[in-house]
Amino acid sequence: MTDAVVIVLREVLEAMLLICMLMATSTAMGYRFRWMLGGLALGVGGATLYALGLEQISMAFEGFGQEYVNSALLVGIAVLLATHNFLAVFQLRNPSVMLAYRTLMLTFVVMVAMAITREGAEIYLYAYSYGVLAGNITAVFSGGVIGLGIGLSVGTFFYYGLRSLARRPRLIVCCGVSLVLGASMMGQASVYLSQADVLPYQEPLWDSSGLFEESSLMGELLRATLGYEAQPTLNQVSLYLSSVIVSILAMLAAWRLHRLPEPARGGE
Amino acid sequence: MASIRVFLTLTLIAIIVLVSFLSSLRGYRQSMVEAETLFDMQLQEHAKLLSLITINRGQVVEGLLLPRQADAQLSAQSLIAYQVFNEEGALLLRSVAAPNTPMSPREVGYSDRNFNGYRWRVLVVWDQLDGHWVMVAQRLDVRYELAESVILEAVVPTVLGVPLAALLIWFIVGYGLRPIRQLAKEVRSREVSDLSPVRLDNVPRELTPLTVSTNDLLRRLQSSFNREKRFAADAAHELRTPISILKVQVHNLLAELEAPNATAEELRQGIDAMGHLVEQILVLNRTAPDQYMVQFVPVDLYALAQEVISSEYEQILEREQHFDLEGGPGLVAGDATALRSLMLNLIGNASKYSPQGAHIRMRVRTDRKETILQVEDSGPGIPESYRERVFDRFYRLDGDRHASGVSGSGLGLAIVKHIVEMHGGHIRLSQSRELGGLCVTILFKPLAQEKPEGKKA
Repeated sequence: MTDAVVIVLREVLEAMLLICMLMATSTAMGYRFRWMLGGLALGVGGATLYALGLEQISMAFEGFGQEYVNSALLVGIAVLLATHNFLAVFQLRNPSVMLAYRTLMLTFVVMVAMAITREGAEIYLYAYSYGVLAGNITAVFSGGVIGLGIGLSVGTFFYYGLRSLARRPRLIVCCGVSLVLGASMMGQASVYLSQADVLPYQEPLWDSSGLFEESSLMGELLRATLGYEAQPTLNQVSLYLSSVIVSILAMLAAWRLHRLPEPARGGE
Repeated sequence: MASIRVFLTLTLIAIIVLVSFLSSLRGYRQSMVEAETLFDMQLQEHAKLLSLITINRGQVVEGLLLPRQADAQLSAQSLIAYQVFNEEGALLLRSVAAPNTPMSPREVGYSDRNFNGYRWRVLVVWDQLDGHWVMVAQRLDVRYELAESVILEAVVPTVLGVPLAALLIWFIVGYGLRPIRQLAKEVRSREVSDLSPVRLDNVPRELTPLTVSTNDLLRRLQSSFNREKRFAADAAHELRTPISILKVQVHNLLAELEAPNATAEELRQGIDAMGHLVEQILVLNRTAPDQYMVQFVPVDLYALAQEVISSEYEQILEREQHFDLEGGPGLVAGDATALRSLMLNLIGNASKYSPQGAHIRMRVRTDRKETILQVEDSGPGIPESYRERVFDRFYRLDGDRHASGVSGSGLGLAIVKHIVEMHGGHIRLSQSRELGGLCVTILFKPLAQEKPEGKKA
């Protein structure tokens, strides 16, 4: 049961952090979050398709199909998170400008759908293989519900915590969360890319298992929130940091966009 | 925060889930440790039992000594395997599930070992009295499953109870917030003119300051309204008498003058305009929806129109205009005086702003849904972009430089709109298709749809 709790909690927490952060950004930009329903529906559909077609996906790309799909989803989310940061900072600098609702919400919907597809498929596969096939339905169900409950509860407090902030600090905190989430996604993507031999095999740079064992509850929580790895390789650290840098550059670009000289006014 | 109810429900459920699920998780882990101790104690009991069994000392036994039935029962219950060796290491006794080779090295105590394709928990005991090594083992996966199935019996109700708790919280929070909803409903359902204090039974302590300050605000608003109403009405009323005297004086002056005098004529027109303005202000005050309160009676718009036209006919004839009244009886629940003012303003406007010889048409008709009063003319009309603004008080198209050159107070259509709203009707301005000028259409609820009791407006 503990395994089910940890696995479901890790996946749910990762998705909840992303969804709650996007909901808080939406409210800070003056929009409601009806878009979320679309994202959830697409995500659940995507996760089901992914889980059902896993065999075909795994066999594709010389047996690395799953690694490719997972890394594509993670890189896609990370890129959209950097876009989110660009838009959020632009909104911070230009509070009176209403961003194009459709473009913004489409970005959010795609992000939520991709996140739920990935996390949902992992939960589905775990529940199916360890619960249904191995005959541990009660244990996996109970553990899964406990993990889901804890994840949703933490997400609820996270969301209301963000909502309690004024508009500007809320957007700033959302950018920070988005930055860390994006880096975490890129870190995870590098693992899949190494497994698919796209990135070369490397020895770990350090080992912090003594401090936080990856498989422990704390290790899993840190992994879900900060993308913690006890034995990261140079590839992981590089992609993690490059995601941070790209996100910061996107925010700086949005900040500078405001300072562009206004067109000269005609003589009066 | 979008909704207090949603916020309270979600956060309370989140707290309950976190506390109960984390407690269950901790309870589960603790119980699993306790279960391990219990299973180890069970192994000890088995080892003691085996030590007590009298066997042929020193004789190597192939197969089983215990009756098959007892052994099978023991194995089936918890998949326990056992072996008994003599001092020299020869196997004296073993269960079906046990291998022929020792399950563990001959070291007293517990250890985890692999054999028969499973991981086992093995207890090795040295029976000093008989000089036997007793080894008892239990499959770890079976121990885990047994322990988990017992502990889950306690966890599952907690998990299943959360949706029920969520439902209860939703209803309880809703019940707790009922006074706020009642207060909102009480304020929302009020008529525009109702500024009486908010009265709620059993106002909770938290809402008392809000109701007290709301009532205080309503009281101050009421006194401000009263002051304003009194001032406008009193001022207009007080002006009536001096204006009447002025009218008489100027009439006398004009009569005394032997030749027509342009200045005196302008003076007369000015005094007439001032008198009209004062009358309009009085009507506006009487018919303002936030101040009007009256018992409505059935009024036939067609009959009323005939009466109004006859009183205004002189002005229409003076300007050589054609006037048609069409349609038939149109009964509405209303105030006859106010509806008379409405018609006077409409006909007056149509006549005033239409040129000499123009055509004016008034229609009254009733269909299933509404009673319609329509006034059309062949005058210049009102451009579409101005049709909303002309209902504002003192607003005149082109200001005082109105193209018609006719003087007016700018209150006529504001009064008309007040009266329409007072009767729960709708007014629409458009261009007359047939006559080309302004077409004013007013939709009233027909009398049949009105409730039997009088209506406050």
